[in-house]
Amino acid sequence: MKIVAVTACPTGIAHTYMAAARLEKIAKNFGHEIKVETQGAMGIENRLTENDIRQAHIAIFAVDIEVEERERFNGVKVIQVPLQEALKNPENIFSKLQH
Amino acid sequence: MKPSDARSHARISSANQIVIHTLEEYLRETRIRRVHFGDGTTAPPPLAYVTNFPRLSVPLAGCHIMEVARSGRTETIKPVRSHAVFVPDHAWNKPDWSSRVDVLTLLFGVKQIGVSLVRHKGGSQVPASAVKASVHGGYDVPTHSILATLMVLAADHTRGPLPRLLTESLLHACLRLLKSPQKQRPRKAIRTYESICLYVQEHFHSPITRESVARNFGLAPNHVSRLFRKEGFMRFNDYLNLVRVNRAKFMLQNYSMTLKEIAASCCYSDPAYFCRVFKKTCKVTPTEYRTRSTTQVSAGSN
Repeated sequence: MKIVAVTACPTGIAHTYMAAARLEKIAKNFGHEIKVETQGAMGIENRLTENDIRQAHIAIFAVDIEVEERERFNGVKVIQVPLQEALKNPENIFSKLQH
Repeated sequence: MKPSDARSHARISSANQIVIHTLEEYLRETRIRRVHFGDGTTAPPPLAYVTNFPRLSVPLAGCHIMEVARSGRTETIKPVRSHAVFVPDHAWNKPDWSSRVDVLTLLFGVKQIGVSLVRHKGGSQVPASAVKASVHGGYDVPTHSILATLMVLAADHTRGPLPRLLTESLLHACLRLLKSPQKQRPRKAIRTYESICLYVQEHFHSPITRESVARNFGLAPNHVSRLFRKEGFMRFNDYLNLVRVNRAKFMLQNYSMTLKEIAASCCYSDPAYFCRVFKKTCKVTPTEYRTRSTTQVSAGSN
């Protein structure tokens, strides 16, 4: 499955980046292809292109704040989870996708 | 520029203004008296902050209570204004946001420097406000060198005046970067044009057309033509041929494949048509090009 994801936390200091690393790792274990955009204090990094988003089967928002430039995801199925879910139980997010 | 673009540009620059103002005021009024170094010598507790880049936290008001690891022990520290906490990459700290604190945290990414100005009223994990600003265009040499030196000091747990003086220098260096003019993000049309060019370079060996590329990018075929005319000053097909001919040139020089094989690998089913396109672009036929470049190579090697 092709997945795009966005991570963002209120302070943008650490959890944004930690969640991105977790999602990348666990997605690979599940055999998915994933690209994760981080919206932290360093700005938008690893930006998802129009192409990435159009080709994705699903978008995961692991965020505790609003996603920047959310209109890019119009027409894509989005699953939104609290950021801590991506840090504590990232497996849960992906096992839900299977059903 | 669309209205939404204008808004986001304005927001970014106003965030930078706030951070610049806060940092200027801090450095005018305050000298760093103490630097706490965290390290990664104990296991991080759940939800501790661990990043693959170093961070520097500077409390502005209140007390920034946190746990850190130091020389194999987990300690609680209570830094206040005039203190700073430096956490190297892969080390951890765990802020306790339960008491009131205003804190400026600098993130030293590989290419980017980010700043997060957080105001916590206390009693909640969620900050009352957070302003995020980043330095686009990355490091200059002074900032990079000062940071590298501070990392060496952190690894040695160096005492004495060096850590606090270097931390102050680092803050001044970052302030200077924040104040230097920012590189604007390129216009959307240029970004789209560039991603189409990349796409063509990756797919030149497949039977792509203006229509298939337009479909892939969700654009009207005429829009693709317009992008190439306005941003690239050429027609889409000319660009596609240019990419294919450049690839063919490389193969003519380096591989002993027949013209028919080379034409096919660049997605020209008709070798005669390939030769016409090649001649039009390079002013010589593929065979002449091959003879010429192989003679040059053998002449050069002797």
